[in-house]
Amino acid sequence: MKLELLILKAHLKSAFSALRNDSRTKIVWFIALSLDCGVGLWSINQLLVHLSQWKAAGSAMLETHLWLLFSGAWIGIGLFASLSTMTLGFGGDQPRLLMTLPISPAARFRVLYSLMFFEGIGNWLILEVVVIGIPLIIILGWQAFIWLLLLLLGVAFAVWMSIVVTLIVFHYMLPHLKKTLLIVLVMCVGIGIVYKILHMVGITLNLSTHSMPAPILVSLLFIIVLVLIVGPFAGGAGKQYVEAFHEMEGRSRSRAVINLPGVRLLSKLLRQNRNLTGALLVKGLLNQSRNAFTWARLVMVLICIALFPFVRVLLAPYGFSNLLLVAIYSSGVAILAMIEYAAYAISSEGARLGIYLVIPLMVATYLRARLIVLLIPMLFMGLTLSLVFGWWMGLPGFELVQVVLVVTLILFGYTAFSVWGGVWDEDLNFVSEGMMPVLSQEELPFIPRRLQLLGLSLLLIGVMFILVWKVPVSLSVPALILLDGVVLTVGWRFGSSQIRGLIIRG
Amino acid sequence: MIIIESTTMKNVSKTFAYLAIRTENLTRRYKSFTAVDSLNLAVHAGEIYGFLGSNGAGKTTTMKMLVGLLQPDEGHTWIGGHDVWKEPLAVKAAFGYVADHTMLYDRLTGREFIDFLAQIRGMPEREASRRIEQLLDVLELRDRADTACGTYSFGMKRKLAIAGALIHNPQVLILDEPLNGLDPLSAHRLKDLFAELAADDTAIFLSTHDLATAESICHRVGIIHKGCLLVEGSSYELRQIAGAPGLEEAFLSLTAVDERVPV
Repeated sequence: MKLELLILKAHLKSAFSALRNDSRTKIVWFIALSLDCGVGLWSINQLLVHLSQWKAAGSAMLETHLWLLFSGAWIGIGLFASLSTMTLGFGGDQPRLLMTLPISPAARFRVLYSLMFFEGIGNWLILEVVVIGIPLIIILGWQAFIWLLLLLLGVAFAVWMSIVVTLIVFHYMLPHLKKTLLIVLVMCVGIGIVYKILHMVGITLNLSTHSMPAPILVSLLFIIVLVLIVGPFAGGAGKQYVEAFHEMEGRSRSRAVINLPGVRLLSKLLRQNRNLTGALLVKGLLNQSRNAFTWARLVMVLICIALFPFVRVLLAPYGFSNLLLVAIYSSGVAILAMIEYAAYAISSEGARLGIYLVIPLMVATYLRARLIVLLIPMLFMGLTLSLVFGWWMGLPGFELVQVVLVVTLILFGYTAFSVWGGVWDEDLNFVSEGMMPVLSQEELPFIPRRLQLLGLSLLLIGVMFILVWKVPVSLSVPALILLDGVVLTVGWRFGSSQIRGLIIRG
Repeated sequence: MIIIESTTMKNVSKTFAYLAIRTENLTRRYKSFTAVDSLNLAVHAGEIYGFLGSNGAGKTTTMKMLVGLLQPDEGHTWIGGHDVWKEPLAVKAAFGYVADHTMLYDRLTGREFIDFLAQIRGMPEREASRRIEQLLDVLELRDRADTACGTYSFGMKRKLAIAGALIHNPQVLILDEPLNGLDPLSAHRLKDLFAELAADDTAIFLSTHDLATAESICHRVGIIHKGCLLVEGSSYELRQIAGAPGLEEAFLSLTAVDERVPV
């Protein structure tokens, strides 16, 4: 345990030192804290209302809903823990350094597991405990502590599960992706068939008819399991970690370049445009067509398109007009497809931003080109969807024009905010090499500052949607134009001054 | 600082044309630490200038200031006769730069990456294609030109970065440890390439830790130590000043005067 504590201490020292000496980290923490407070207060209020209703409906109803709430919380934390496993366990130099040191597999796992609470899910865990804990104590009194204990122990177990599942995926599934996908597909179909058969013979799962297990008993069970997994069974998980690490490090480097049909022709056409925007479009097209995340985004967009008729029915009681529904849904889908990328379109460059700073172009040209390159797919997607949905809903020509205008304004403001705001996280000295560091630097927004930017952009989207929803189109359009103007002016100045600052600071 | 007007170049005796790089009192501080202190440099067209120094001596900081990636606190820099901070576009059109770390896009192939650099510089497509093929041959990258950059070895990435810096036929090349990570054959070929470029009047300003390389290809060598230019001249002249048989001994003797640690 001494070794584990030593490594943890070094990590914490490094984190505190960054917090003390780096003003940018301080700003990030301040914003994170402010957002936490805002989200926390809102969620506490909501939960207080619901808890009172559940309590009034009887103890069985209360327990069922608390179990559902806790399950959701554990799944959420588990997802974050899984993503953190990638960065803490495989990304960057620290895991590599630790892997070269004489540490037993059990200690290795315990270090990874402990780090998860400090550097991985810490912020979310605190938020979750505060948001659920305060209303529970207010409504349930001393009984809340039993539930809170269950929540915390469940989190500890969910984190362990997430780490182990991630390690298994990295070790056994990623190297055989095609086979794995086939197995998953067969399993899903199998589960579907079994479910259908059970349904046909009249066997259904109804949560309300089953009594929930007592929280204290489950807590005890969790304690026993946790003692085992961080004690005698830690070695097994540690070995799994070492093997997964070696699997990832030893992956074949002879990565063949995949050129999808049409991409080569399109890039040839875009190559005719011999300037920065053209070059960025070509690079973006080639890069994204070879990126698994892009295909995941595309699948998500297709799912969203397929869901439109259901969403339409769901939102009908809220009094959404057809115009409003088409405008919000189309822009929402376009934003959703890009939301985790737009916020770091520039900062994912790291030291590579130097490529653009040493060519004979002004910083303004670079910022403008970056915006255009992201705006083109966003507008293409948003406007195509709005026209298709508008036609499907039978919107008259004038309303269709209004939809196009609203979607354009929403996407323009959001894209400018995210792309130019993303310069905030740019570090000219940051070099990422190797699969996992590149993945965490270029593909994932799970860096505190990026998450804050993501939060702020969500806020902006919220404001825009509320404007469109609550204000008549004749007023919301000028309001959106005004908002876009502010975003463009502030974003432009911010982006330019940040890049200048990078050159001054060095 | 000891400055010697170069009259005896070791390898090539040639008359240099205009000044390709000039710095005047170039200074950069990080809080109380002075990384580069009143640096005065002059590199002529057609000259290969080796910039030597220990780790942290200020080589990379100087290079970043030359290419406009880092703003100096004091002093001025001119490249191709243009002020780096007053005429940035003219300056950036004139030089090619290779950083101390690779700056590539892992999912692009080598060919696509160089083409991307040609496109952002606005080179006509036909000219870019011709130049890319030429560079792929010269730098022996053709065999892997159509595989992703992310799969390249460190040395291949360096060669690709050099190809990127050469794509627009720059008048000035600024190279931060260009031979780092290259195998002996590639390093040898690259040195020949530098000599050819210099013969065509390209000024090459390179930093290196490899003193044998500096001795064999550089017309002049400058040694920077703790941010100050200690001495500059041909390797022959540096050896004479230090009274040393080779550049390595001269370097050690000149930089270790105030740092002798008893073993």
